[in-house]
Amino acid sequence: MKVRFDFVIHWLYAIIWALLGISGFAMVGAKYGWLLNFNYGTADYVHRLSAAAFVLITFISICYEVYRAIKRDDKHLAWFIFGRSGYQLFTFIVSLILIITGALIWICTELEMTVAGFALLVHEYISYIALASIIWHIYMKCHALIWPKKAEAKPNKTQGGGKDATKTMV
Amino acid sequence: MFDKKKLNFWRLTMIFISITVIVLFMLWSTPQAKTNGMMDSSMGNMMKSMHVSNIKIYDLLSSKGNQQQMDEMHKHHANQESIIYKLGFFTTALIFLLLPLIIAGSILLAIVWIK
Amino acid sequence: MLQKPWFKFFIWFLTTFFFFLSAGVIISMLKPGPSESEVMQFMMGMMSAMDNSMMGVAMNLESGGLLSRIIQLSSVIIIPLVAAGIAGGILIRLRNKGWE
Repeated sequence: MKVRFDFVIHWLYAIIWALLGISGFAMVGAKYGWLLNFNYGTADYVHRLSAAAFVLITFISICYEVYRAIKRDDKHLAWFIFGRSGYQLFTFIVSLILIITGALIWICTELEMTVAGFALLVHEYISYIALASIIWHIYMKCHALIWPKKAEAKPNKTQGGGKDATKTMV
Repeated sequence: MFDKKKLNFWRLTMIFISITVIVLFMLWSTPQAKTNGMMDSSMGNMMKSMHVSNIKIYDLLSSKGNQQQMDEMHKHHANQESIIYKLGFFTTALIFLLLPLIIAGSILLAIVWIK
Repeated sequence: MLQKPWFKFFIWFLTTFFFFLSAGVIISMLKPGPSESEVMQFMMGMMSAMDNSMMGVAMNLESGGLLSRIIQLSSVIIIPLVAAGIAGGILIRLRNKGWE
């Protein structure tokens, strides 16, 4: 079975975003700590490791897009995380902002407190916006949630008698 | 609005909104313990009130650190040779080596993509 | 691929997870302010993270020579790389325009 590159990248990105989301929101403040049972160490671990994976996957996607630009490949990749319009562009910008502010927070001991605070503020609010946009994305694409009708897989077991089942029976 | 294709989404939304409302109702209706005023905010808000409220653009450009002080403070940490240290090294190196490439690549893409 | 049952399970899991995450964030935002015990737990968690997690390692970054050199290197190479990116972008744009 052929699995497309952009498809794989999309779902890897989704998994990494989920990990980053749960661990990051658990670290936001004392009110949020219950999300990971106040286990700040684990949250920190998970957040840093998946941040590295996030940066890596962003880098690979940007390389792929640059490669496509050089090859003059204008085809619209429906599954890709970055693109030149719509939600893909939004993801691109948000990922860049999150990575840059996250890198600033990472070396916060070298910076002034004001810079680290600014980066932390931007990081937090952008992640709220990104979370809301994920729900919006799920709303737009929620036809993926519909369970496949198994009409051709098991012809003997036509439970319920849906439209497809009757069609196969006739 | 309640399209058949979006049915699953609305189902999930309803379930989670009801969970949220029930949990919030229960939390607010329990007798409250003494709250802590300062921590009643997220880290970003705390930083905003403590450090960012009078930030100038100049602060972003100048980054003189108090390096000696931090060095002394963390000298006793330095001999932590473990898997954690290696992981920290690896992730930091990866992120900071890829960051310039990412920025440069996104500038390239921005120039190519702009109409 | 998208029609495979295990993949549907995966999508459902991820969707539910994101719904859970946003519900958790909304609850956290709107719930009554943190109690003393919550603040204590949070602070203790942060302390232990500094002791035996990567946070502490990231904090004593200055004393490890190689890492700070890597960061310096990245801040040095960023300017030529950005210049190369601008040049490459303009080049690709001109080429695409010229050949069409």
